[in-house]
Amino acid sequence: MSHEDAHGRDRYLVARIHEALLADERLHEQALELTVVGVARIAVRGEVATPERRAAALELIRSLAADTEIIDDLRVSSTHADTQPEEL
Amino acid sequence: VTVRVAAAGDIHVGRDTNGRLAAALDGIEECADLLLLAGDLTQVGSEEEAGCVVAELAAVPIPIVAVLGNHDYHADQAERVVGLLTDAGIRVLEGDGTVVRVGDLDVGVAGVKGFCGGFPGRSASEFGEPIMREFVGHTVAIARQLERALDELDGDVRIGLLHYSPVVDTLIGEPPEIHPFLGSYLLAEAIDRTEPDLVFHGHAHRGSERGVTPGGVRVRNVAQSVLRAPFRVYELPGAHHNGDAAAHDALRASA
Repeated sequence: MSHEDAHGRDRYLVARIHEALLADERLHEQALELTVVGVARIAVRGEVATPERRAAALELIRSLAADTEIIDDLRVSSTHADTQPEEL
Repeated sequence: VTVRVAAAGDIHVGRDTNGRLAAALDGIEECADLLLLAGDLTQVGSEEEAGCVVAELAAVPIPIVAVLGNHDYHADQAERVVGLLTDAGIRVLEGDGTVVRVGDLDVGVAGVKGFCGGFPGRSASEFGEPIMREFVGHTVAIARQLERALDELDGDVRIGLLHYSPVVDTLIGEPPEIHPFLGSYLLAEAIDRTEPDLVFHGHAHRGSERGVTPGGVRVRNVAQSVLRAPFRVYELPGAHHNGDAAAHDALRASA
């Protein structure tokens, strides 16, 4: 498989992962960003509400992209409130 | 005289939230007079998740006003979700408004979910196949609801509450290809014709917090992932109908 073919394959894989993240009943996640950053390498960015959803998302992605390196930049929503107001 | 409005969007409560949001909101009354929720309260809008939302918000002692988001419609149980939230004392808006008394001020909030369509020069039109006309027609109808609700809204402070964005400014950070699925300029037109003091929305998880409509109304994207916090507080002067028109004009001019 050429570099271009592999890149194209990974783009379809990203589309399938997006659909799976939305359909998975642990997640129903629509807003994660998956970027093909090289041959067999995908970066995952974004924020989920709980540590359980972060683990579930990574498990799902790795199960669908078994031969692909996943660069994990997911984070869990902060529970620390910034109480300083913006004065308008 | 000012009002402190806490706002958050896209809280996406589910069975696994387990009090995380309740803990984050603990003591909110120390810094805010009112909590606004800009949609996507749940993951799929099931009755069970609505019960989880009620549980997470049960200890919040300040008034809560919310709109639903697209996720809250997925399970086709939106009516029941609204019923459960309403029974718990949360005011859920869809094409209407409410006035909350805070100290000496009346704070008016008009809310709609909003919908898609895009922004000037790159927007969908109510033309062609029936499904396309229906798609854009949904946005047109909601924009009219928003305009009517804001027009009829009284208060010393007037706020618009949406899920979808009325402007591109607060989408910066999102891929431009998906902007038409994140909001519509028709919502901004409704806002500019009725001039609220501030507008909140969510939905754009990778967007930016601050924007302004072409008519000068401030817009804030309060999706939790944008704020990187469970909520943010905005302090507004009560300058609309209390005789301090100059302060109101100054607020809009400074946008």
